[in-house]
Amino acid sequence: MAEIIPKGSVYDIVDSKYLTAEPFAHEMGIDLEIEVYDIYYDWGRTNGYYDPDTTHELKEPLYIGKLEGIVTAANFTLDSTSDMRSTCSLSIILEANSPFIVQAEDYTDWEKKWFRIIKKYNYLNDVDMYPRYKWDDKSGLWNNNGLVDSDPSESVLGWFIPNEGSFSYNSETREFSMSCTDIMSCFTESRGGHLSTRFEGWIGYNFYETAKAYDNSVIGNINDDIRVSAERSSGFLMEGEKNHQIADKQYNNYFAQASTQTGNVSPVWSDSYSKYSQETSGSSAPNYNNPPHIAKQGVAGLVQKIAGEYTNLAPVSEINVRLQNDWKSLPFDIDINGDTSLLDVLKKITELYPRQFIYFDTNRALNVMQWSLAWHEPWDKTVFRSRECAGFVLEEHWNVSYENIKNYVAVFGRDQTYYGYYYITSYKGMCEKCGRIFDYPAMPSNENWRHCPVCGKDQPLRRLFVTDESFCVQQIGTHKEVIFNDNLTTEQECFDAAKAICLESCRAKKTLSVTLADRYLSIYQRADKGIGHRIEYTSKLTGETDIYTLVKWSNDFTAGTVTMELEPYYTCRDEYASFSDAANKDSCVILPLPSFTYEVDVNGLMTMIINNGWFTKHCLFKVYVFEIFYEPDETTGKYDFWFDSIAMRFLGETCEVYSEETETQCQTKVLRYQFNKNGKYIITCQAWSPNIHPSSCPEPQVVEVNCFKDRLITHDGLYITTHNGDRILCS
Amino acid sequence: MAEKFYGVKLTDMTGKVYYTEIEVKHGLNHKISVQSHLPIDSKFPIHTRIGRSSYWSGTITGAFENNQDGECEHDYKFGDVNFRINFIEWLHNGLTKTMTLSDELILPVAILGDIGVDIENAISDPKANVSFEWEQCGERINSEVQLNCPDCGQVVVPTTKFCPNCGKAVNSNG
Repeated sequence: MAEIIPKGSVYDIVDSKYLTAEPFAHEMGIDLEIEVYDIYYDWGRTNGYYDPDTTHELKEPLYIGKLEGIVTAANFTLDSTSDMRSTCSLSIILEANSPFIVQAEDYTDWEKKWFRIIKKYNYLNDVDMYPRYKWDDKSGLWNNNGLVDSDPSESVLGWFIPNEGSFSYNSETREFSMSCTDIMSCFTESRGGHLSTRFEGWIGYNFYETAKAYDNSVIGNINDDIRVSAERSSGFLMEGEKNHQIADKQYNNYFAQASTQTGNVSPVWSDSYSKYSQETSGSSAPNYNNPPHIAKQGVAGLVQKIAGEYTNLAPVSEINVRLQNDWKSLPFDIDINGDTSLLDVLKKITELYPRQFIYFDTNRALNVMQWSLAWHEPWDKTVFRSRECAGFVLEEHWNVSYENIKNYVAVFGRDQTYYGYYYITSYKGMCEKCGRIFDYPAMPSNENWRHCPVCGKDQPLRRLFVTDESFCVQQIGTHKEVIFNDNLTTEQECFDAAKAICLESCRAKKTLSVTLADRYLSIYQRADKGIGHRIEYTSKLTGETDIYTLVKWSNDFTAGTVTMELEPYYTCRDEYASFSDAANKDSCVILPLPSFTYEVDVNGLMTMIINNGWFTKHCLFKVYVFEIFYEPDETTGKYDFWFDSIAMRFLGETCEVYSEETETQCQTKVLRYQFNKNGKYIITCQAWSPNIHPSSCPEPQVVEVNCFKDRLITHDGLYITTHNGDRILCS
Repeated sequence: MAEKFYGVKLTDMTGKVYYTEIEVKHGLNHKISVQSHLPIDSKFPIHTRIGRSSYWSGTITGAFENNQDGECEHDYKFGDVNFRINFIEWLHNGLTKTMTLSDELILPVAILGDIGVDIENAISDPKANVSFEWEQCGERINSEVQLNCPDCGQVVVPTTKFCPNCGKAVNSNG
């Protein structure tokens, strides 16, 4: 049982055990539990705006049993890049007495079923791995990640809806197969989820009530409802900060067309509509060409309101919204047609800013969320530590695609008098005085380029070795894109748009695929399973610990493996260093510059002692190296490391505590490295933490290794020449 | 002391009983679904047991000859073509068979797709070995839960209502 290391603080304690693999169950069992639910749609029956205080689930799914049997194949995918985040396919040999065998071939019946799938972890040999705890009135299983509320014996994989026509049942083998997607499909065209569906359902119901009613006052009220519904079914306009005076008459008047064209609607509808038309003629006839405006309001409230109105299309347990600038209104008007799906409406809002997602989690909650744009977001911390899976990584593979990379993007606004541009280079440098990050020119034309443009030439730029910066102008050439966008009406908007496009298209091309044995991970306790969040991982190939975004998670149940698609984490907004002092330790956004000393013993073993003040206990240190073949400048006696600092490579990392903090001295950490050949090397280091932007690198130091004697370096047939010039006659 | 069981006996809900002790050969396997993985940097593989499957399967070869017309089950009438054909078609009637391999191993089994008959000259050869594969499809019938006919002692399928051997009612709940 490993020591319980508390997690959750932005400032993780990085001690000597930080990267030590946690224990895990070597021999264990996994199984699936497939719960079946009936869904009753409430199309058009319920209306009203979403009020988080009073609105609850319209219809809770009705549990009707479990699919019992032997699962012969099952694959699950959670993909943050897909509209349908959760998908699965499975085959199961139903037990002979399964109640579902009777209807197994009735595919129309399966269409109405939903499935909640839970994976069970059975610790056959490690019963003490997750001991029970009891605190006050709480009890549960305690696992070695210090997770109190997590039950490592099960993980809810999600709610799934069968895909149309994906069923098959073999009555001889009793094998039932299907493929599923998640609840979001109810809000797309695939299940009639366009906006007009909801209001047409409402209209149809009201028409039905009108036809039954004999009291004129009731009919009048219902007719008002019909008029509102008809208007809403034609779409609506969401007012933003700009453009809302411009009346756009190009809406798709879906309902009006359907109701006036003979044969397009059922007789019940057309009869009711005729009656309605007669009763409203001569008074204020409805104007279907004026779709209603949703008045300007905060985006969070707007999304709650729109999503809340459509939750009768699916049993949604709750709606969570956290978007960029969500207390402000939309930057400009957005008009919505009646045949747009709810998902498309929400996408129009989320696509305004980077890294915003719409998804259902395993609790059936609809989430409209933005994930961290930068390091050090207190509300979006790194959710997973590398040590948790270090013992059961099976495979690792880097994928790099150079297609369609754009690292220079220019954007022109609505009338093309406004424009903005943004470009990316992976070579960044930071001023240790003002904390600003600048480009670190590979070929500086004069000395001024090497210094902070703000602080002047006394402040040199320090190289930032941030490994998420995968591509740059210098590496792959310049790729440009020019975009004209009607919605951009200021230079700031153009700049923001250019930056977002550039970040999105420049660096999202490098991914790491990691295959694990299927074991319980702490992120499984989360309703979103950590998808789209930052996780820490130590590459088995490079040995480097880094932060990645968990883009996709997939599970082959019968193979007992899980594959995670990781993308090196990159920031989507500018960050400035706010160096801390003892009085205000929480002000750090970028880790302070470390300092180091080193010594090389007679056998070429380098011992490097590193610290960066009181932050040392929260830091892991990465060391970079480059072998040089030149002498220092004759006049100054100094080396010029500028060009070499760009080419330095990762040597190793350390979290090993060398000496503990005392009253007079901060903690230090040590890296030991065995050189295997003589030479002259420059070394530098970087402080790193899972939740804080890495530091810049201190001035490199030169390490000379000259301890390997009598090694063969050339052989001319007669003599062997050793490294120190001795010539030995060959016998 | 009761005579120790030897050979193979098969019954099902049709009431028929087939038994042989001639040239019987068994292949017996016990199966579970286990994946073996060798993590990077690990000395030993780790194992994941998938699902709950845990069952017996096997093959049987034997000369199932007509021993139902004599005084006891050890009296054989060799070369009975009708008996062989009926036996093979009975095996593939889709009903769960209760297979007795010994007094300690009685299993409900499903007969798999292929049944082979080893014929040298003609189907009316004195002896023709029949081969087939089977898989366990229910809990093993051990001595505690084994259901015997109270009249003749025949082992019967737990769900059956009448003894396939003597025809007496065996399940009062049925």
